[in-house]
Amino acid sequence: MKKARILTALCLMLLVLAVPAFSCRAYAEEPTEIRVERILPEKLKAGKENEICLKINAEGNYVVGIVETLPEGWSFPEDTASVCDCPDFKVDKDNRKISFAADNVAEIKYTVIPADKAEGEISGQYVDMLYRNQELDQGKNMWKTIGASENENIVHSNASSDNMKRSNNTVTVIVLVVVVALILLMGKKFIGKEPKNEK
Amino acid sequence: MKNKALTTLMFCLIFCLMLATATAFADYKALPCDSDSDGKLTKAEAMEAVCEYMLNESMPLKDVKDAAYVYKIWGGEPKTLTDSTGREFTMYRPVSRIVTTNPDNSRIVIALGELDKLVSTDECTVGSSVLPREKDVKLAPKAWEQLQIYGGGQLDELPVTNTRKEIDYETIAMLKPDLVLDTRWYDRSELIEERIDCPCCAAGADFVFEDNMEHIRLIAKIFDKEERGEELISYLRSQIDMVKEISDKIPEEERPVVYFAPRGAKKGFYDEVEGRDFTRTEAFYEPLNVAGGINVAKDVQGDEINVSPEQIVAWNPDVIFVAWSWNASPTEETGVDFVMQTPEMADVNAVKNSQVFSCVYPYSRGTPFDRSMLNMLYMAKCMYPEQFKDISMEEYGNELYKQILGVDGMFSEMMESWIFLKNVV
Repeated sequence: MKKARILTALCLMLLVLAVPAFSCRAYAEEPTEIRVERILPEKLKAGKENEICLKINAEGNYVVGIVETLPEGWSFPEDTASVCDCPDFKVDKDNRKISFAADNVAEIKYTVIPADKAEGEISGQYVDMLYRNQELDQGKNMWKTIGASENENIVHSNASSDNMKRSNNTVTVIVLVVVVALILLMGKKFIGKEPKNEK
Repeated sequence: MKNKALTTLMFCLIFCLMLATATAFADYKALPCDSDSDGKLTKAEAMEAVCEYMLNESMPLKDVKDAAYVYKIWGGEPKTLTDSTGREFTMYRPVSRIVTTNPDNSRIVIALGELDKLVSTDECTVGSSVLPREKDVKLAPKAWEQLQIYGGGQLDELPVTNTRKEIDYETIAMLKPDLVLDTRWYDRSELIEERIDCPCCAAGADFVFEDNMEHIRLIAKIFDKEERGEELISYLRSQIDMVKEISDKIPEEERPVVYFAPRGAKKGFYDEVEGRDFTRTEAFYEPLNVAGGINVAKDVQGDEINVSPEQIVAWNPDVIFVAWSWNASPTEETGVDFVMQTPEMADVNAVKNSQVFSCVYPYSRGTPFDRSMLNMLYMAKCMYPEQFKDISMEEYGNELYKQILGVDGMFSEMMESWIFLKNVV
C-alpha cells in the first residue's frame, strides 16, 4: 500500500512536470521592434540612492512589461513610493525585483541603493504585451533582455536566454529523477518481490 | 492489492489530465484579468496584471497580453459585432488563433494579412478554392510556394477540420481557437460556440459586390485591420469603376442579351445526380451586369434556378457564357462544345454567331469574389472586344491576386491551364 502510494505520487509529479515541459514550443516569431535599454549613472555611489533610467524605444501603441533584478546586497529605498516615478510598478524587496508596465511611456526612472563597493550587475527582461502570434504556450520564450545603452559600461545581454536554459534543464533533471525512481519501483514489483504489509 | 493500486493510479492520471486540460482553456465569455469582474478592463487592472506577471509569472502570459490588448486597442471593453446572418457575437479576447470553415472566409483572412493566425481550415481551402489546383496538380506552383503558413509550409499543410457538411468539433476544440469563422449556410453558430468554447462568426456574401465588401469589412473588424480592409475594398471598387466607366457608355439597345450557365455544361442540359448543369442559371450575377450584359433570367424568381432548354431557345440569347471546368484531356468535350453542337441550340443567335464562351467557374464551395472580379473583365472583353482592348486581362488578373493573396504572377500561371483565358488577353 505504501509503495502504491509512492508510485501514485511519483506519477502525479511526472504528469505535472511533463505537461508544461512537453507542451512548450521551442520557437516563437520575433516580436515587433521594441527595444528597452538601461542607463546607469557614470559612477554608482555605494550605499546611497542612485537613479537608474530605462529607455523604451518603440513606435505606435505599445504596452511593455519590464522586470529588473538587483544584484545581491543591493536594495530599494525603504519608502516604496519613492522608488519610482512611473505610475505602474511593483516592488519585491525580498527578492530585489521591480516590475513595470510601460503604457506608451518612453522613459522610466527608478532608485536603487547599491551594496558596498557597488559590485554586481542589474539584470532585466521585457515583453511586448501587444505582440500576438498563434503560439499557445507563450512564456519565457517571449522575454527579451534589456540591453545597456551605448553610454553604459555594464552589459548584461544574455541573462534572459541563460535563465531560460537553466529553467529548462532543471525541469529535465526532475523529470529524469522521477522516471528513474518509477522504473526502480516498478522493476522491483515485476521481478516478483511482494512489498511488505501488502494484502 | 496490485489491481487496486493500479486502478487508483489510473484514476489519478485521468483526473490530472482533465485538470490540465480544463485549466488550459481560457474562459471566452469573460475579459482576462478583469479583477472586479465588472466586464470592463481599466488601465489599473491591465497594468496591475502586467506588473504582477513580470514580477511573479503568476498567471499565463496569454491572459496578460490579451488583457493589455483589450485595454489598449479596444478601450477596455469586449467587442460585439454583427455577423452576416444578423447575429451578434462578442469577443472578449483578440484573435490570435482562428479556424475557418470555408474558402470565402479563408481568402479574406489571407487578404487581410492574417494567414499566420489560421490554425485549421476546410478541405476546399487547402484544395482548389483559394489557389488553383486540379486533384494532385498545383496549377500555379509558384503561387503555392509564395503563400506560406505559420511555421512554414504551403496552404495544403494546414490541418483540415471540416468538409462540406461535417465539422470536427473535437479537433477544433483541441486547437483552442480564439474564434471560428463559419459559413452562413448551416445556422450552427450557437452549437459551435458551445462545443468549441469560443465565439463564432457566420460570414459570407453572394454575387453582389457591395456584399463582398461588407464581408471584407466584417472580418477586418475582427482582426482590427479596418485600414487594410478599406484598402482592399478601395482597390476592388477602382477595378469595378474602371469596367463600368466603359460599359456604361454602351447604349442599352447595343447590349447583348446573355444566358449565363454558372454550372457549366459538362453533363449536358441537366445532371440527374447534381440536379443542375447547362440549364442552371442565376437571375442576378453582378459581374455580368457591370460588364454590360443583359441577363436573360433577370426576372426569374427563386434560388437554384433550372430552366428548360426550350426556355433558353425562346430567350434566344446573343451571347452565352458557360462556366469552364477542368478537362482531363484536350480532346474531351467542353461545355462550349456541347452548346455549339447540340441540335436543340442550333437556332439560337449566340450559337449561330459563335458567341458562346467559356468563363471562370463562379463557385468554389462559396462565391469567391476573386472569380467574380475575373469574370467581370473577362465577360466585358468577350462582349466588347474593341472597347476593352486596352485593358490587359493578364495584368489585371496578376494584380488582382497580388492584392488578395500577395502572390506574384498567379494569373499568368493559371492561364497555362485555364486555356480559355488566353482568348481575351
